[in-house]
Amino acid sequence: MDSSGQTPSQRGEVRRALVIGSGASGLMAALALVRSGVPVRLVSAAPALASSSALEVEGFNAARQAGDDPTAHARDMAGDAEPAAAGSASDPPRAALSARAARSRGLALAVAERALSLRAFLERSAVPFDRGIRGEPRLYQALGNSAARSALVRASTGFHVVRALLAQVTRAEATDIIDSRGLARRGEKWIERDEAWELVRLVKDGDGTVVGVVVQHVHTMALRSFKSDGVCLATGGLGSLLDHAAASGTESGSALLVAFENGAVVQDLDRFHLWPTAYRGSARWHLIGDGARLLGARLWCPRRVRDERPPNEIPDRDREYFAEAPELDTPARLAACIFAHGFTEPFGVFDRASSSFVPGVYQDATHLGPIARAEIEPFFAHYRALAGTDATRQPIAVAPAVKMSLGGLWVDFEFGADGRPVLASPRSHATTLPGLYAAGGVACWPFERPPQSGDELLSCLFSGECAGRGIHAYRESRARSAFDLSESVFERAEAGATDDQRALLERVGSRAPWVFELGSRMRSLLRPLAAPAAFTRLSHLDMEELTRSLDEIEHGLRTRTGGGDEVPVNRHLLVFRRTQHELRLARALAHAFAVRHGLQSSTSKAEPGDAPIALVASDDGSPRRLVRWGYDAAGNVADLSPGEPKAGRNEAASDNG
Amino acid sequence: MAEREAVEARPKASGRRFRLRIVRQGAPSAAPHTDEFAPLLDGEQTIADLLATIDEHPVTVRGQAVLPVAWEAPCLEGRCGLCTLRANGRAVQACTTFVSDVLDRRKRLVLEPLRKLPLVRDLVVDRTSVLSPASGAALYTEAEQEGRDVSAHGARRNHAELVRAAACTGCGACVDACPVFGPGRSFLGPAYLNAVQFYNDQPVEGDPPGDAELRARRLESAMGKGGVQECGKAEVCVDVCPVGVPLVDALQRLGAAATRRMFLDWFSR
Repeated sequence: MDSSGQTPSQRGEVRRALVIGSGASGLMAALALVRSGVPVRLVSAAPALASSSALEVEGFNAARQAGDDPTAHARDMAGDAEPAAAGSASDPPRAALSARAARSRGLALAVAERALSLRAFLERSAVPFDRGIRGEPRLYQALGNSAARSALVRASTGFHVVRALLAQVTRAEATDIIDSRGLARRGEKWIERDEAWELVRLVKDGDGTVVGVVVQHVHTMALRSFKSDGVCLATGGLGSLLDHAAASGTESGSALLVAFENGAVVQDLDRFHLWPTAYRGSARWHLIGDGARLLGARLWCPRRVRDERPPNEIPDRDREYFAEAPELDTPARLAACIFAHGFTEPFGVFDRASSSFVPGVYQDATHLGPIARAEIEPFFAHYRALAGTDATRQPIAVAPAVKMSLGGLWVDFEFGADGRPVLASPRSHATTLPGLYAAGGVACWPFERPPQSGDELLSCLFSGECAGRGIHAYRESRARSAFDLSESVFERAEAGATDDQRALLERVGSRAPWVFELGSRMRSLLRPLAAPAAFTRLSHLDMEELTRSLDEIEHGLRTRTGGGDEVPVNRHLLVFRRTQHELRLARALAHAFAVRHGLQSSTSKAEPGDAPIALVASDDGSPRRLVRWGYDAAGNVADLSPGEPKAGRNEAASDNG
Repeated sequence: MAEREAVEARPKASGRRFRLRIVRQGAPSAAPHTDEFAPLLDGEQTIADLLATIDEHPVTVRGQAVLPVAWEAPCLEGRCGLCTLRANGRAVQACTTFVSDVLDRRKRLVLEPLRKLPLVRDLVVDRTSVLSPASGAALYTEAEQEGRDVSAHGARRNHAELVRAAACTGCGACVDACPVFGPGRSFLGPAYLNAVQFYNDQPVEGDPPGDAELRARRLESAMGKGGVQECGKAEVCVDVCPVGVPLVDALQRLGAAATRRMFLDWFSR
């Protein structure tokens, strides 16, 4: 099949590849597809600037300085220590662990090697990275990095990266498609973008290959299908399910759940990345970027137990400053350090509003002079706006918060002889559902280490490229195009979605304020799991109680009925469906917690040779662990259950590092 | 935005109620109507918090249960610009503006969608025309050519200013406040013109031909109908901008560039 899709289908349609999600990963996937000559349809439920990647406060890493190189960068990303020797007979064999670690390093090296050209691309796309006084690029040595390689745009790197990628997408939206003969296809542009569609269903052909989607318009509630040879999900991670600090309100985790319930394997759903310095706003946690620390803010806790004085009145001799060593830590270690200093009873920070001591430490920028103060101000801008306090005049209370979910859809890689991933392969970022690809937060973080500061945006862009090129290779390998399938496949899917919608409306009615009760009840149920205090009480998490509460909520969702006579122009239908999805996602999460006895944060003690926990949906949608997801003789991670279907792959056991 | 030194300065939940009116419209073709509520005054609530509270029990002062209000505030941090609406006639960001700061003297609040942008529903508007008022707006660079480096020193504009100009989210507050911008009028608006100047100010090494053409095209779009010469110099745009984009500076620079270009064209005939 003409992989680029420039040969129109039998019905004369342009065979666009579908990308869902317009954050950094989705925008990059779309651009990678266009570079490969594939026209794209980019849909998302919200505008690009509303994405979670636009909220990223950390910078963009690229090894550039003298004394720094991609090898050092890769080492920081994936580590290079050989895994410890296995203990008992049931542990994965050492050779298998070595193979896995080697692949992880190969991937990290590929990312690190690509970083500089990605950064140059961003600069050419008008990202105004910070510069020194002579106009030279300014690089910071951010948390977890062994050299100065982070490029920042003050405290808004993510926003500028997304804005610049969007501008490049806009350029493609304005450019006519040129086919292989060099002729322009009038009226058809390289990218068609519509930011008002939410994923409702995947459409699969008789072989179980994903050939399209059914989506719902977020304003009109209209349902329609889109066909595609290769669908890329770039919809973000678990969203606000665990009170995520860096998740936008538009990131719901719904698409992840849809893929999961269609049989895609998810991995390590219980792993989360903590960011050390954050504060609680009215609706979510907000992050204070590492730039604040780099520009001079210090961390301290009161020496005296139960010191009720406002922080400005506590003199230096009564303060314990910590984490000031120049050769610092990783975000995980700094978070652990903050837990150690501020999270043991009796807690350190006195909260005037509640007249009680709460877990936390102080972040202090009051000692800075006027120039340094002006430089650091952007990192505290939203604190000033939301809390009404100038953080450069008064120390502020901070605590670690969940920044991102490390788990997600398992994605494949093909590795070449040089140990690097082969991007021009249909396996590049393919999920276990044929035809479905994943990029960014929705995919599982591929390294055993959580990200260092500045690697997340880089990883989003790299994974977008992987998925885009993977889809291009996939299209080459397809004998038949989704666009040449019988229309009935899509009509049936649309009809099914319409029926679901009707059932949903009957339950929700047109007036359903109670939906918010249930949604907020569920969030308040799950929030304690992510609250910093919970990390010191992981062993006391009552999984049974969690499951019971989820059952209660589901029961409440099931038995409520209401009128359904109004025209379904009710955005709260979307909210209701998202609540349902969150509930089911919460169950999968609870299952993952139960397997490994609680939430695995980046500060949790990693067990050497810890096998990934893979979950798949049973026929009734409930999560089931692929118990024998371990290592085969070749050191590949694979489902070893005898007689069980390999999770959707047509090839032999895939080797994911 | 007024600077507040301490949280104590704002009134806490006082147990008192205030009059809240929200102008609503179910669809662009529907007739607008107003719903009135009487929520508790809480000094620590932003407008976004207030809307979330109303949504949980959308019952008017007359005891009528109405549909929850359609509104958006994805980032809740003042970064994405999508929550911008009119509070007592002034365009503000709902997620970073406190209710107690926008109440009028009689402690009333009226919330409306931005006026001059196409309405979607209730408080949600379509913002595409803020940064793309005319088709063919070339608000991008030719970034695909590898090996083309960004000049470290050739910036046409101070780097700090560039960063501030780039902070524009397309929220629409400026066009809402601008007396010259509106449906049926030609002015392209401060946000678009700021973006034109921002892209024309990009430091580029060696001035490759593709860039020169794009810069010329952008400048032409800002010199024709609706261009920078139509700016009335009211300077309310820079006043309402929630992220501090130096709009008036951009318009000045653009005006100067347009004038230079006009003379060049004149003399080259």
